[in-house]
Amino acid sequence: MNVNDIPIVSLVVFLPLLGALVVAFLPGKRTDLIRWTALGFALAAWVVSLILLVGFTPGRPGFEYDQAIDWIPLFGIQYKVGVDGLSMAMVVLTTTLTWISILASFRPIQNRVKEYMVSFLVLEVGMTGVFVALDLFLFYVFWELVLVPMYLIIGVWGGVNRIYATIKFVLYTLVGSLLMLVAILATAFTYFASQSNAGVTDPWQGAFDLEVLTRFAGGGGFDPTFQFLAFGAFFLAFAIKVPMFPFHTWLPDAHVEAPTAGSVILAGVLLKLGGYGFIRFALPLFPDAAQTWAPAIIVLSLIAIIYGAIVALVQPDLKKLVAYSSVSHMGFVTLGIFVFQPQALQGAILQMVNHGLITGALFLLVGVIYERTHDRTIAKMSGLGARVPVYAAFFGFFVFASVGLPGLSGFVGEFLTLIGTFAVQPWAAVVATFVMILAAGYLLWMFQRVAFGEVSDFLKGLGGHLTDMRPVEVFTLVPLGALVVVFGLFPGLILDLVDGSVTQTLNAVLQGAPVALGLWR
Amino acid sequence: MYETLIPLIIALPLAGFVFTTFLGRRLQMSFGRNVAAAVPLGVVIASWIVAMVVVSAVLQHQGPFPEHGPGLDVKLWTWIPAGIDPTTGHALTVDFGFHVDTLTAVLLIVVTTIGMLVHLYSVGYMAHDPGTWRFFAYLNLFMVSMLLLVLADNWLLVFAGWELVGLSSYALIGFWYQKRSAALAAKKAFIVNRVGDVGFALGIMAIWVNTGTLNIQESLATLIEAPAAELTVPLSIIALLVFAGAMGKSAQFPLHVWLPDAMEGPTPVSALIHAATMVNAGVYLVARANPLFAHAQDAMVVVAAIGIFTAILAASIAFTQTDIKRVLAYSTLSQLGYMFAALGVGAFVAAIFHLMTHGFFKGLLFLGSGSVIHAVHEEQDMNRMGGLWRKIPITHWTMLVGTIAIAGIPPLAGFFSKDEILGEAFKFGFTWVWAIGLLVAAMTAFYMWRLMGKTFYGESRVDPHVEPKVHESAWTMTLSLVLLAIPSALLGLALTWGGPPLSPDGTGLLKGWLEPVFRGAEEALHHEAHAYELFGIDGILILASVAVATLGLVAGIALFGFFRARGLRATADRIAGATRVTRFLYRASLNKWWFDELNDLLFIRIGGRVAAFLWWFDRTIVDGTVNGVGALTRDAGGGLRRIQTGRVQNYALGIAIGLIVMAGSFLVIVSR
Repeated sequence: MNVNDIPIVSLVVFLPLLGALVVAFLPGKRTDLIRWTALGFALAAWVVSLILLVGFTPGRPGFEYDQAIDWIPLFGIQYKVGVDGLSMAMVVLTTTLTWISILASFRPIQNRVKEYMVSFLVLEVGMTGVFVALDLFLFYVFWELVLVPMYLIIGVWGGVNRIYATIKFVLYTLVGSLLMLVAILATAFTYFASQSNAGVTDPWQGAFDLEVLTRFAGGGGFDPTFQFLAFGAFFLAFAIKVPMFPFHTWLPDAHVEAPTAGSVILAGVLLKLGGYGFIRFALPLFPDAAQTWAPAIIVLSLIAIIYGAIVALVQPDLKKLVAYSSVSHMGFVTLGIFVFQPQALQGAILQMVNHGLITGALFLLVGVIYERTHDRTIAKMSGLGARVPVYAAFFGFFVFASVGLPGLSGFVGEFLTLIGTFAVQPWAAVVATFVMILAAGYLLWMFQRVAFGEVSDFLKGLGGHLTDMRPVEVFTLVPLGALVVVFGLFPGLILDLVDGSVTQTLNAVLQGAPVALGLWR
Repeated sequence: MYETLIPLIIALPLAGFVFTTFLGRRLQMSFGRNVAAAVPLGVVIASWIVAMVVVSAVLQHQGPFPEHGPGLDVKLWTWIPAGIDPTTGHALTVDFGFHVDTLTAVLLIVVTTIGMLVHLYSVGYMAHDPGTWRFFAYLNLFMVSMLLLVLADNWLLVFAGWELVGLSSYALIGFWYQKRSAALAAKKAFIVNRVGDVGFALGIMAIWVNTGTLNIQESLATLIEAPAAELTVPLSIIALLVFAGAMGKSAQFPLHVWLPDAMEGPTPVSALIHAATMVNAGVYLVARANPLFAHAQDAMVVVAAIGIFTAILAASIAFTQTDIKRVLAYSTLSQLGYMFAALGVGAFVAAIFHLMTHGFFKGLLFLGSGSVIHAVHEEQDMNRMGGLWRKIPITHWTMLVGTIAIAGIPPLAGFFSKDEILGEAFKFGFTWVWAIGLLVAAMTAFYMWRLMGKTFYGESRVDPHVEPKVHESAWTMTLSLVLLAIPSALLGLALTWGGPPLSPDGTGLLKGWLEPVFRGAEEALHHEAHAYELFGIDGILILASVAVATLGLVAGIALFGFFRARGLRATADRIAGATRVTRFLYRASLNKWWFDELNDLLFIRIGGRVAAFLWWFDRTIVDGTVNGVGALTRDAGGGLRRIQTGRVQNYALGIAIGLIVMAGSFLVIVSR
């Protein structure tokens, strides 16, 4: 067998599934064995994804490593997977954050360890699957597969109010994704109808195939009304996931109740599913509708950017603060996508990666302090700098990364989004730029209250329980910190990777001709 | 060779920062504070030596720096390769590269020299602080940031240095983070700076959109040649956006509020950041962008107005402050105001001249005040000092040099640069700038003498327990003071060697250096070259500035004494309380014209209400709707529960039928 014949993309997706099966058959009392096995499989998936990355040739249009097997031939549904630069970036982000999350769960998760690790590995299957699926039906299956383990992770290992939060999370997401399923089916039906009218022998052939449908859409296959409605359904599913204002309220609740690793994955990967969905599916399939909807989406993005930051200012709870900051930061992603400008789109993709790294790290850090204090109230925490200096240093580093300090990765993504937006919609860029002040405001105010000042009575009362970072905790944060520095200094590493995806997406939307949106001009 | 030396100027302190961050604590625990400080101090000395080699080559036109040459570009790598915007054909490629010309060289002198002396001074000043290693790590980081800002060859890299300066000053101001006031001041400095940064960032975006490059030299050349109709953003708007950034860093009204609070940091920090380097960044930025400003003269008037207004506003506040460092802080604001006034009237060389002289004498004054504070055991209130001149003589005499320099008495440095600014303002037709500037000169001399009098002369008001222990500072500190006193005294003479800086033949040393950088702008402004008339207009202007400075000094001496005790201290209060007008002015000055209260009202109270309202809105309206829909569904479900048979097949059938109906109706709607 030739090396090239190994279905390496499928290997990344299904290694964790194999891991889940293995863990499921381990004796439940051997918790350490379970933990290390789960970590081993997550690391294996990570290594394979890195091999994938090394072998990937950026800049080529189309998908690499693609593999297609008929799944339900009756309707032309295939198991079809492949990666382009965007997928590649997202897959590696996912595999990286997954092993870090599993490692970070070793200590905090003490009950039902086996079920937890199985859930986490299945979650990884769903997430990587979404990023590599090239068949709409397959995509939908993976999309929904993500929900189940996350439902359990929040609902079983979450905080006091976990049932409310997890049901809200699942129902809210389901509302969007069921409508998306309808739109997927309608898209396939439309394609089928046009093919059978044209007298093709097997009209279902390719009805769910993303590449086929994209070509069909590029040829004007979907009429404007259809596009408008179908895009609306996709939009709802993705907007809830991002989440965009006003569909964001499930996020703070879910974050507050989720265990630390759940929050890391939620913020680090799950939110990216929405942005990824827009770029991969909604824009190429419904280009005209994307342009029709763009002004409204830009406005919602601006609201999310500013509103999320202002609401973050007054949060009393560390996790809620980071959750609302996510709403603000993800606003840059949707803004960058929907101005249809190459620099802005590159910025949006960078922002997805950076937000995953930085916010993931911030949630890890909140988890570290929560494990020791069983509290996340900002007002109780003053003086951490004096008590746990190493922790405060890590926290400070990621706070400034989140503020968007140049030299760290957050800056480049935001700046590219802003400058690209400025080129086509100057006023939108002006509004969004003001978040620079607000972000410094809510993050530094929070940092001042928890890290500076005299040690609070609450912390003094904890005595010896409040220990500084353990080696494992340092070990989970160092890779993220290193990546934040590397991508801050050499953002070209990601930009080169996603170059082809950006060009392809914009060509699909603008169909070669630059289009003036004419909203504010 | 220079391609290696120039990056080395930054790389050395960067290495020091990384080394000290990771190993400093261990070194300090094992070998003591001086060992921990050795590496950070060593790297800045090395960096200074390398910088001086480069500077001398630049200023003497050796090697790759020929006379009238554009300077040397050193590109390290492509920082942001973000491709081409197909609509405009503009490539967004940002290099990590440096540009060195004479303006850079002049700034390098100020930054590396004062930076090095502050490091040296800190060895003594921080000798008793448990966090010495951390302090030196931050100082090194500050040097990296500031040098990056000065050396960068493109706007975005300047912005990066700009923000990193903000970060390092945040760390340094909040160095004693357990003190609430220090933590608050650090945050305030960063956030107020960010207000200006929004403007700067938007300016950078506008520059790229209009020129297709972020390289400073290329974009400026493109901007000033582009016909106004082709620009999507007018030049004056771009200039004002850039100036907004400068206002933040250089603490110009109304963004001046962070600087006085920043005095919460250790005193070497105040000297380094808030007198000699960081606050000069704004002046440097506007000077760097001089072609842009010269072609946007309405923006220049704004610069001049804000500058001179800040100068008089800050001077008026300095009158009544009793914290020795705060007086110096307001004095810094006021002197920076002068520099912007100079930039605004088009006297670019004069602005940079004052930047240099001010850097040295204000650095000296701050370090001197630190020595005083050390001597009286961390007391900063001048009402608890007095009569110190015999006890800490080196500090006293060096500070006296600084005071006379800032007051503008010839032949000390401040006289030359300040006179240059005022004279240029007058000759370029900005008589209002000149008149206000003259008044500020008198005020400066007065409040500086008030500072000297209250600190060093008259009767001692020092705490009796501390009094016997007052002593002169360690040699590293006094050495730094002496080394700063020399340029404070002589720099003015030195830099005008060969003729006044702006004399038409350009024989003044500084004028000769900077001429290539500012030539284009000066031509665009149509500054007429006229002969320097020592026995004409120029002589009269000199007389005027010396006269007001002397007036201020004499008034100060009359009220606050000179060497021996005077009983006139009460007079100051009597004058202050004399009439209703002066009472109001006194209170206004004491309360800093209530700017902190205004900001508190606007941003803390009103802004806080807005944020609280939005959060309520989020929970009650946005989330309330979501939960409302949920509750509605649940209640409706309660009514419909009878169809729940519990058989999975029925549910599956229901879902299948539902999907088919939805998809079908979808198609029906669409195909109509």
